[in-house]
Amino acid sequence: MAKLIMTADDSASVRQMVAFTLKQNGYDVVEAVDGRDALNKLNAQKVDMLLTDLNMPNMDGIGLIKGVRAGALNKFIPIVMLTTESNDTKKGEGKAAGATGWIVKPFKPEQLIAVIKKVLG
Amino acid sequence: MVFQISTQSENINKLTSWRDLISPAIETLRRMAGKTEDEFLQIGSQLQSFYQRSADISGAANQLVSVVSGENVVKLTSRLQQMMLDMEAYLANARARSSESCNTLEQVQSLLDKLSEPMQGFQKMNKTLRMLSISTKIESSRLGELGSGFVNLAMDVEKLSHQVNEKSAAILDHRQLLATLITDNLALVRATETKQDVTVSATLKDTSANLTELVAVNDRCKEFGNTVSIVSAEVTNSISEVVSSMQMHDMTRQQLEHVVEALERLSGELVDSKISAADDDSLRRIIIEAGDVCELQDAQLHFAAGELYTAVNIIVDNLREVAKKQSVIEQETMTVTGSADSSGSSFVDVMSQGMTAVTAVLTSCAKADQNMTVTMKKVAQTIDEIAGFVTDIEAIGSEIDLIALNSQVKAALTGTEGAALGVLAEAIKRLSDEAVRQTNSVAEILTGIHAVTEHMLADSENEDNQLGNSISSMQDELVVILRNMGEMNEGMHSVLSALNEKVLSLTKDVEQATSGVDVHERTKAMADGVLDSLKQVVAESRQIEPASTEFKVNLRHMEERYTMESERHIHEALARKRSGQSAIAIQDVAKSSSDDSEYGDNVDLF
Repeated sequence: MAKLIMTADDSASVRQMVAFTLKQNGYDVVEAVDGRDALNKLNAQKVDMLLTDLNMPNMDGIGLIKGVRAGALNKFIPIVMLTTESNDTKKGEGKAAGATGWIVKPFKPEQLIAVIKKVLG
Repeated sequence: MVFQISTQSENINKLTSWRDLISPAIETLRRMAGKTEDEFLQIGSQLQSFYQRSADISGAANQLVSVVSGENVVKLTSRLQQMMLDMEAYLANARARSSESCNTLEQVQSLLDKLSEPMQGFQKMNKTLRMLSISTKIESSRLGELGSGFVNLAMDVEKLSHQVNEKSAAILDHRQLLATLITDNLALVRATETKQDVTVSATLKDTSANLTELVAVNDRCKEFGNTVSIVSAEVTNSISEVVSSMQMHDMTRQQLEHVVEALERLSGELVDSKISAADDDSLRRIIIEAGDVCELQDAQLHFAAGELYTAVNIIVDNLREVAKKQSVIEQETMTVTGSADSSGSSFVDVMSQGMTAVTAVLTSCAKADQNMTVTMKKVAQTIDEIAGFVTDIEAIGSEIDLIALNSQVKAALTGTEGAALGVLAEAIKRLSDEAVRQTNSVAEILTGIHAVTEHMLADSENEDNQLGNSISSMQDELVVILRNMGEMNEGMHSVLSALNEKVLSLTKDVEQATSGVDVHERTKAMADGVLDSLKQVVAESRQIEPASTEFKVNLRHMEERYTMESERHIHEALARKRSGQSAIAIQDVAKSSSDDSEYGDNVDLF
């Protein structure tokens, strides 16, 4: 059975590219348009992994990670930030919040897939 | 200082004019950031379709090649090679048999020629018998009453003479029939051999060439898998480039938002300063800041617009490259499978024609064999008929012998008067001996012919059965092979045709999609308009107040908003320039990287 991965990003074109890359590699994808949308969906649905942007309206990536880690259904899933942000301080915040990894955009599909394979074991 | 010679009101008016330049620029940048999303989404949808279709084409090419290089084709090649050897052996055997048959027929012909002598003997005997019959009649007439019994004898002799004449004529007719049959058959066999030699030579040559081609196709097919893998990797690389470049829209949008934020803040300060610029220092500070902010945003916008322009070009180029690569696969597929030459036919077509020719040659050989067997049977049958006539003549000879004996007895009873009849009776007796001698000669010749033809006939019948079975088996197998090849050819043409349509359709759609992409040109034009405004503000502000060395300090608040490394690098480069440090090219610092993790410079796993 294919693994289910959520992509949370306020950019429709980025969600489209992430979904395209994941589906081409045999993953199922669920999309969220911002942190709040993602958290609502994650409270109702079990996924295998979360890919999230940092800067999003309503709830940013750090808030989303904290919300997921505080929840029950997806508490232990790998969470990888997928963002234009490359600042080390921000990375530190992400790590502290419970992020598993950090990918700075633009990503190459093969990089994303390699990271997913690594964190999903 | 320029500032000193300018009046405060003129400078305040400048601030107003800058605000009037910046406000529409902000609106333009907002439109740029929001308007392009749908176009990128559309390109993204097409990318997914193109990728799927590209994968389908590679899959179809692989499927086609696997058909041509599959187990069936390997078996077919092997079987055809064996059949060629069998056919060569068969043809050599057929040629040897044909040669032997011709020799036999020539021997029969030669033996038939030897019949001439005994046949002439029969004619002579016939003539003599008729003369003896006449003489007997004359002599018996002269003797009157005494010779009356000889008249019947003379009539019997005459009757036997007619019979000998009839039988020998029948033998001569049959001999002529055989001679004609043999001559015709030899001519036919020689003509067939000549024709077969030409056909077989050409067919074997063509079939051999096509088998070589089939083997070459198999070899090429083995290499083709690598070609498809390489092309697929290149397509994947192109798609990867497109996916990376597609993200530039989001990045540019964020950069534009940062530029807009900076310009909005400046615009607000320009409005406030018009009211509150009571002293020269405040006015001077806002003029310097306007120059610094606009110079920095000019650099940021220039970089962002350039990145977007480059990204869209990369997207277009790579999508076209995907279509081009599939064209390469299609062409390579046609070359590899040998499916297209100048006439549009495939090697399978040519091989099918070759196999049809082979079938024709085998059929011709079988027919020639059957003809020869029929001829041999006909020879044997005719010889049997001749032998029957000879037996009849032999029986006639016995009857003549009895007549001669009877004549001698009667002549002795007649006494001296019948002496002449006794002489005639002796002559008749000699003729019966001659008849026996001649029939023995003919029988000897016929026995010779019979022996030769019987040997050939026995061989022919045996070999006919074997070769007939062999040819029938070969022909049956060739029919199956031809049918398989036909199906394979049909399937190959069908897949190739579909492949061609897919590639043409993909190429057309990619061209149509990419030729309609002008988002980069439009955004560049919009960005150029904004850049002109920013440059104008920079030029005018610097004319009033030169750039400050406190650039970085003054614009520290901006650094906090940056999310991208490129933004920070551009900021840093300008700051260094303003503070008199060694300059670093903006493009270079924007693209520099320091990390080199396992998954790439931009990946960190915690």
